[in-house]
Amino acid sequence: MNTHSISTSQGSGTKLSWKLKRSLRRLGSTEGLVALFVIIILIYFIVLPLIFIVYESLSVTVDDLRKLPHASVGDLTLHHWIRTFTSWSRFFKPLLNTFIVGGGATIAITIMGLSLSWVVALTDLRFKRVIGFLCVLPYLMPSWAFAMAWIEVFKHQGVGRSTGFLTYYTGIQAPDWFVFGPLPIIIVSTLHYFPFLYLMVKASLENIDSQLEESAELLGASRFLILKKITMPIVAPAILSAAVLAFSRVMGTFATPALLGAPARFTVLSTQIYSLTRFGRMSEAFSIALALIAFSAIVIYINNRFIGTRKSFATIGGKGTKQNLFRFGKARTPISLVILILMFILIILPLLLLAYSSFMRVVGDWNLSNFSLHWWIGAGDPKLAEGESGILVNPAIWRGAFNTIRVALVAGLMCGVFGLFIGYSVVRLRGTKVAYIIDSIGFIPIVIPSIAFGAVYLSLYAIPRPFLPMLYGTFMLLVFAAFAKRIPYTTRTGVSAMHQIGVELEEAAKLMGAGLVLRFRKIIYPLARPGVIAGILLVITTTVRELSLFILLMTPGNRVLTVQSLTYSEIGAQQLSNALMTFIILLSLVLAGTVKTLESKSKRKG
Amino acid sequence: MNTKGISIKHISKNWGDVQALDNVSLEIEPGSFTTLLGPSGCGKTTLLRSLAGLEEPNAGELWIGDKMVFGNEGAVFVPPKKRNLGLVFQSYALWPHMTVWENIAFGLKLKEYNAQEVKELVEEHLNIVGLSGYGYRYPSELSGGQQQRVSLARMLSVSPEVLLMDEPLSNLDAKLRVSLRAELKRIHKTTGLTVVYVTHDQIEAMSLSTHIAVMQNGRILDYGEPDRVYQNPSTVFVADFMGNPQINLVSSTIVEKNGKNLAQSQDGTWEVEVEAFDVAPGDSVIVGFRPEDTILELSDDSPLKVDTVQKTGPDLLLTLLVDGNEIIARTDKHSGFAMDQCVTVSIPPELINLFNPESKKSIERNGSSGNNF
Repeated sequence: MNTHSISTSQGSGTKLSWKLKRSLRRLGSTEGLVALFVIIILIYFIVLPLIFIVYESLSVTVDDLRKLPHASVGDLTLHHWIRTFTSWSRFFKPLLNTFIVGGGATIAITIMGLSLSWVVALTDLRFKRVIGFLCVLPYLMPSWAFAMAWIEVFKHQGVGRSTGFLTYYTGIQAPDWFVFGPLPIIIVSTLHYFPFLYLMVKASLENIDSQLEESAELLGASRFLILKKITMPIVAPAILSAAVLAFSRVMGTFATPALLGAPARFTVLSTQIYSLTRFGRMSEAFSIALALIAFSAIVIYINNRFIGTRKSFATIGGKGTKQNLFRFGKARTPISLVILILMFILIILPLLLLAYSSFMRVVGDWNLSNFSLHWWIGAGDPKLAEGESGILVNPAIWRGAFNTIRVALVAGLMCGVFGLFIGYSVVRLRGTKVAYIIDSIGFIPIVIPSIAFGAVYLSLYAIPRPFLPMLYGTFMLLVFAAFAKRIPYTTRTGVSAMHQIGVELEEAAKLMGAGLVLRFRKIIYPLARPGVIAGILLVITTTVRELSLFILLMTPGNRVLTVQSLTYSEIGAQQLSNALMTFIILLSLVLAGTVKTLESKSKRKG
Repeated sequence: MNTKGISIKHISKNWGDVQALDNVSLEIEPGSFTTLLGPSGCGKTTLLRSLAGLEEPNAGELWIGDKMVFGNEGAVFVPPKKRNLGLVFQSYALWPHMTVWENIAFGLKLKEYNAQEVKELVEEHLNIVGLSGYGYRYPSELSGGQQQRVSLARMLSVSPEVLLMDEPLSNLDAKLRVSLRAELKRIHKTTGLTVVYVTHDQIEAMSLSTHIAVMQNGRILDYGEPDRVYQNPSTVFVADFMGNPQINLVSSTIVEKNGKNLAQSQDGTWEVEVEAFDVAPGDSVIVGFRPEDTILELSDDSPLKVDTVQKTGPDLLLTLLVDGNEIIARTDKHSGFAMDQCVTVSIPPELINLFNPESKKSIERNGSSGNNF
């Protein structure tokens, strides 16, 4: 009644006050409160850090005073941008290298992913399950596992390392450019990232309405013509989209170029950010990080704007007739065997050699007589690797393992809960600006390469900030970084989980007098639980193998396993590093297997 | 017109234990519009896809005109592209990355028409389906009905000898279905093509076809002209499947009254004269009659009472309880019947069907050769 009397008495001002009241009422509603909370968190963990690096890259620091005598600390300046973006060695060379590596890997990923997805999805290949598994396996492991394996196989004294597998058994010394530099980075990145394209293209090939191909067949087209004119053009957007996204992944990857590029003085943008940060030149590191973020954003924008939506050929749900598989005929078994063996050599063999090298007591001696469990369970030997003991009996490793799992678990839980809130506000406020803003901010961390993300968190929380104490060197800093970087994952799972919960279910509870907390506890959470758990598990599995995000945030007291492995490699304790990597790979696979089992269980239930 | 008839001889097809087609035979006349009608899973689509060459039967022979396209125990199998037929899918199956024009031109180019002929044929067929000027659009920019017209034009343009259609109207809304039905009829008339049409919608089948084959469990139960199949179905299943509201089926016993055979419902509340049929007193039969074929009259002595009245607009649908089961009578909206009135229900003798309750097959009339095909 109140609003009514106001609106009649106040003439021209009524419309505005009505609107204001309505917005206030909306804000006071459940959706409004949740959305407000979500936005505050998003601003604190994503928007402010971004603004912070832009600001830092543009302001005068104590170190600059020598060069800028008239400025005082905190003044705005283009000094760092100019210094960075006019320098060949600091910016353009790493940029060019980034594009060489990214471009080369993308081409190789496309060829490999495309051919494998075709043989698995559309032919009568044998051993499909095994080959299909080998095609996703690399993706479940840390990105630089193949880089370490590469070094183990091809290293030799000529490049300043111990003897590798190849040289030990054949005497052949691979050329320097083959051991370190752009080529191995391209090959190793391809092996790690091709599953990404494989999965996307395979899904797309499998979802083609087979009637599209049958129509062409009836009109007289040959099998080859159908593949060329119908099948390939229809999956082309998926291929292009996957290739573009793979490019952005390779561009932001850090560990592989750090291991395989640095010895050949081959720098890309991500490793450049790392070394600048290590030298304390934060402003320049941030400038480059901004450039990397910008490129990544442009790539993803191009994908979403021009490839993703407009040319996506959603197939109409026809009758799901079975695909007519291409028949290899007599060549079926030979071709299948060749592919299987090739995949085994490319994927499994390197990992086996990597694992084997962790059983070599003396580095570089591949003879079986050198086989030893020293690096796994041996007590420290002062003559080897500064007396570090085997990883399974090393308290530092156990601390690292505990830390890894703790970070993954806490970040996972935070992401799961927060993802539900994001999903709630986005779905309940669908169509409003608020939902759009939340959705968009929640997407931002995707475009920020992990190494840049780590650099930002390093600087931002090196000193106390509002509501937060100084976090440098603490466990919580790792958690916050992992949480913020993975918000996009949980946004996706949270939104899709909430989409399945009708608003009436909650309204019915509301009418019976259930408050916000009770509704979340008794209605929303139980119904959204499978989605929330899926989100948590996704975050845990990816955090366990995360390196780039954490490497800059590490202090001796809060190491995680991945960083520990890289550190061992740096101090020359190669076998320890390899043993630890083997352990991380196994841990990742066990986690991924658990997720898969849980998923298929919940599917059967629902 | 260069159209062909089709012979289907003893075709069987199974996937493992599932018998999709069980010794199916059918003669389809040139220029006819034959509908394969039946519930989902009855084998109608499998039969159509076998004709197209997209499935290979396990046994039997298929002939298009005087050419064997499948037979000799599988030794003969003509691939789809050499069968010279068109197939229109339920999902339209338009290529999403090609314009309407390119979709239609695709088959023509494969037939090696020159550019000028392709242009003329595409335009001609866009015109036939009423979509002149839509050539530059992509399928996603068309409505479902328009997409299905393009799909039709694409298959007609290559002048097939037979046109196959697999539930082409099922993805469309009710209004569009009526208008496209009329269009299909017109196109069939102008082209004179043999059409084999698959649907589960008996109204589509009735309104479009020159012949209907009703299928169930991989077999053809009835085959004939729509009116005959509707009015004198060969089995209880066919009778029940055709018509909405459904046919009334009343379990009855033959009794003799005043020297005439009557079928009487089990509770004795209703009876009808069945002199024309070859039955004897004491026989059990199922009496089948269509709701619109009932003649109702008010009669206070009748044990039958109007249970409910539904107005559908043009008609009244009355339900009455006979022997505990509902029977439905359809009367004119002006007939003025109301609930709880007592009525008699009679049926003109030529519109009655009798079925054998065990074999579920129709019982022949005296002197008629029957319709057992």
